[in-house]
Amino acid sequence: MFGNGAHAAGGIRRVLALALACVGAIGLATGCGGGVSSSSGESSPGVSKDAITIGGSYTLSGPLSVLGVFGPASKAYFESVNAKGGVDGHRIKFVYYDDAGDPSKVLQNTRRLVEQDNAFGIYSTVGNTVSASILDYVNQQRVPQLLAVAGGSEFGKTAAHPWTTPFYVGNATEGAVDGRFILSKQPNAKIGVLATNDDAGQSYVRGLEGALAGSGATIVAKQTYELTDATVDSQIAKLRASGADTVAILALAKFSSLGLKRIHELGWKPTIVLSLSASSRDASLRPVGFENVQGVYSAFFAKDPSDPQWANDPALKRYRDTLAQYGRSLDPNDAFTLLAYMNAQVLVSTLDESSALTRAAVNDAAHNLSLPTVDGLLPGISIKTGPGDPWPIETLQVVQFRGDQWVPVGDPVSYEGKTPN
Amino acid sequence: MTLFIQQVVDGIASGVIYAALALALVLIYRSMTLVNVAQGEMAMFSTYIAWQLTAWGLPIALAAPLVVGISLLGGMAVERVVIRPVQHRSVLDVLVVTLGLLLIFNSAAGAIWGTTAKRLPSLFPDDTVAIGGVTFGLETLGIVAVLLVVCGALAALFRFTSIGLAMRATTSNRESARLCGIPAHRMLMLGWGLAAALGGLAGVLIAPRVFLDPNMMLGVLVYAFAATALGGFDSPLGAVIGGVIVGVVENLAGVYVGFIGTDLKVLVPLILIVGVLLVRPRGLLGSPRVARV
Amino acid sequence: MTSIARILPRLSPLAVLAALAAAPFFVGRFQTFQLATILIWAVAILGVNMLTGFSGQITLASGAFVGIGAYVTSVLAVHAGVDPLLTVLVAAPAGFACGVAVGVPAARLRGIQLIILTAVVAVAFAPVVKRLDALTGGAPGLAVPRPAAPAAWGVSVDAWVLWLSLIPAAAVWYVGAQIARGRIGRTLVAVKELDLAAPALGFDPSRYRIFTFAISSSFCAVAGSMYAWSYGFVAPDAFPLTLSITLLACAVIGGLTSVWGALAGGAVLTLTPYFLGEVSASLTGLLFGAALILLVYVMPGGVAGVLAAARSRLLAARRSGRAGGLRVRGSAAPEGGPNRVSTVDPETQTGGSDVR
Repeated sequence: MFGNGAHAAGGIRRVLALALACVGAIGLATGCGGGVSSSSGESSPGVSKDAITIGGSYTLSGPLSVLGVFGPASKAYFESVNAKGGVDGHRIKFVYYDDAGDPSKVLQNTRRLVEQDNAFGIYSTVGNTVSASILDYVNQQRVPQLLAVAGGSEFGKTAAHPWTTPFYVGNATEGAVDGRFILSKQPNAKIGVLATNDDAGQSYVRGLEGALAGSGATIVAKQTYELTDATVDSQIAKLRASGADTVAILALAKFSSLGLKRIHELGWKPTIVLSLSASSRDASLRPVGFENVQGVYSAFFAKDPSDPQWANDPALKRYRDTLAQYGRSLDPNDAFTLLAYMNAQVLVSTLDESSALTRAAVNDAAHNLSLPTVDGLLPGISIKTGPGDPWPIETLQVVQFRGDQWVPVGDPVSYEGKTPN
Repeated sequence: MTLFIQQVVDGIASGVIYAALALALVLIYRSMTLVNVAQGEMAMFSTYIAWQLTAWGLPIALAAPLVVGISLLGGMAVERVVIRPVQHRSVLDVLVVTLGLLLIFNSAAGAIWGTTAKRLPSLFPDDTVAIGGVTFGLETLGIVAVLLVVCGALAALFRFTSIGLAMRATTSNRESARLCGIPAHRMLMLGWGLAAALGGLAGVLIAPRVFLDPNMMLGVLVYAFAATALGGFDSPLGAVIGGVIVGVVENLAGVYVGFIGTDLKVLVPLILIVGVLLVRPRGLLGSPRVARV
Repeated sequence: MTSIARILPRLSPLAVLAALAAAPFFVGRFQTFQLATILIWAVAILGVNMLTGFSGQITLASGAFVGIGAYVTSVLAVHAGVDPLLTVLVAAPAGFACGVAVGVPAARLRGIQLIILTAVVAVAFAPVVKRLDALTGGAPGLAVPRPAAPAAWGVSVDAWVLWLSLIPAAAVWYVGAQIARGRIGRTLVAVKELDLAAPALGFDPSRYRIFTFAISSSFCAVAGSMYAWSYGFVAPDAFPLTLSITLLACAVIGGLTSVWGALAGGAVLTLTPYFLGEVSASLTGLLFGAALILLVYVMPGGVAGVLAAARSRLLAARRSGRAGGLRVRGSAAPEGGPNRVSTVDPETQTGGSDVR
């Protein structure tokens, strides 16, 4: 296997020689290659006279590829901004790679973007696991991880990772809003929860429990699912067997569909509350059939782009026009596409508002957002962060599905500055 | 007791999903004594074609047989173009090629049709029938019926037709089969075509229940392998029975065995596989492995 | 035959190691990180080579064993404060033990049964790790402190990790070579060739198959430790079944029975997606699949096989040019050394030179 006729002694000789080589190499000290030096780079790489390089890593293949749309959708918005001269005269150069949902590839892509492609910052990592995999790296390297689409409580801990900012509603907030709403309808509800088996799901449950504390309502069953599950039939069966009269679902669209379908098949009629990720009209409800999901509740901060009530909405019209021009392969009715579009708007605003185009200044701006209008937000909801207030979105509008539309129920519920941990 | 029977019935409903894909795996194995890692993805791709046909207005009852036919031709084409150049080389080279196919089909489906889940109309009515307090889905019964018919057809093909005999000869000993005048490469092509056709059928049967998206078959594949291990890698009927058993055991274990829970549910078929492989490697209905020394 | 041709095979491993050690002085931090990544996967693929190439057992469990090594390192470093560098001394035996545990049932199985059994191990890995979340951090994973270079030297973490990684890599290389060329190695090849007939000749193949499984798994576990050093982060979803399949594929493409093949395989695994990412971000998966197929077509016997064939053709041309003697065409015949056994293994049906 190794060449010809070498003996065991030859092997030991080789190892010794290697050790010598290593010592010799280290002795060479001052290297000409940057690979050796421990000093870090400049404070605002990725910014040239007329362009700023933003990097991203998206899941464009594999089981979570439904989240991959964030890359191309953001790109479409950036191109529309570039066509109008960019941000402060800087064109946005958006470079992104596929990570197939693999945390190691996310880190590889991030390092490539930062160390080779000279990215100013990493934008919009999607999902808790993906976003968590580069937390240490970006914070050690002092590279802004801007507007990560992740709601797990970890992302609200700004002190622990000062260079990371979330763009989403905290899952704990969602849980709290859902909990309060359930209490308002059924003070003694018995709640069964189907959630993802990760930080998002756990944060949601904590928020829910917090809202229910001291009331007559309880969580009687908690079920999780795996991406490799073909159906969630047995989870739903267990929820039903636990005597729940209310079901809360925090899941990806496909699994929320499967859950809703099963509930309908069983002829079971609990009160159903869907988390944001589980409630897309096109992705979650349509496969089950609108007629089979009448009356389910959810809590939104954004408009559902496939909902006919927004057909003439001027903000969404701008969104659709942008996609028609710069993102023709994208589906404007997809809720994630709109979310990405909103995220992109916030990034551009952040760059605009920032006092300077340096990493530190932009990071600071990202921690102090105040944006009353972003295309796609529901009326009454705005984006705000500040010291002690890490979550940009803390107001949700409870909605109910009637006919083929999500109809608002009551006024938006605000947890501004009060997102539980 | 009714609850228990209901769980068993629910398990059968899942099990037939696994059985459907397992049939395709068995067919490939019978052609090449090899596992095609891409079988699930090819089936998923066929299912997308079915969806496209229904989106263009064709009723599912017509789209389904059409897709089975398209898959037959497609599978034969894949063998001819992609597999044949390497099939005389080692088993591992072919395995690597099938991995490449897996990646290609998975990406292509996402690129062409997007990644949002789609709904495929079912071949069977949505109703249920209640017998003695236990609910049976008509869809499940329909799938079981279809699978049994397919098993019968395959058994008849292999045992009573000359093509079937030629295929069996090619699998058993390719060189000798050639010496007898059997066009071995054509038999292999046919084997791939049949497996792809079965895969397409499986997809059309499965998709209404699990919704169609590029990753639909990922979870099912593991269970389908469990089904073939349990039933015997070369027995179609074994695959169906194996699939049903896997589904039932998985469901019962998830419900009645406390610490398993839904996150470890996938361990159930895995433990089943290990158990079968240790105790009776050939599976329930498989033929014992004969190797020449 | 020229003395160069005789010395070269002995020098080249040394030269490669020296080149890798010197690399951080010539390339940037990201490239250094990538070299470390190539080493990680080369070590894991060497494990696959031992098991599949040498012992003829096709395995889809290698990714899980890498994961085991990575988690042993991470758990010890995070919960017990053990220096990450020392954890590899625990990871390797842990991998060995797990390898025995899987190897025992696997010893009796062949072909598709073995593939499925090992696939089971790979699929079971993530759910079990997630369930043990108190220890492993569950689905979100664990952040692992990376080995820190002595501050006075002023070298980057990446360079330090690369140099550290060379140590277990060289050790694994050495052990692999010793086994390969020793009595055990010859017995393994004989066991692979004879398979069912081995008992008739008086030895029990199971012991050797289990041993190879254990060694292979410990190599993969070592790769896992190296992974934790390089990435500083482990998550259950980083070690799925697709990783095992890809490791096997790259082992085949590199050359199943060669140490160089393992290095080439590691390079293919790391660099192909990198270059494909330049071409198209959204079609990376598809292009990678196409690349795998093309590489298998174009290189029978893998990269190592192609290089060996080229080398022997070169040497044969020289030899016949000088002596006007018999022309040896195209076969990978080594000069000197034991006779080549030309066989087709009934199980994996890998042909070519197995004994060197």
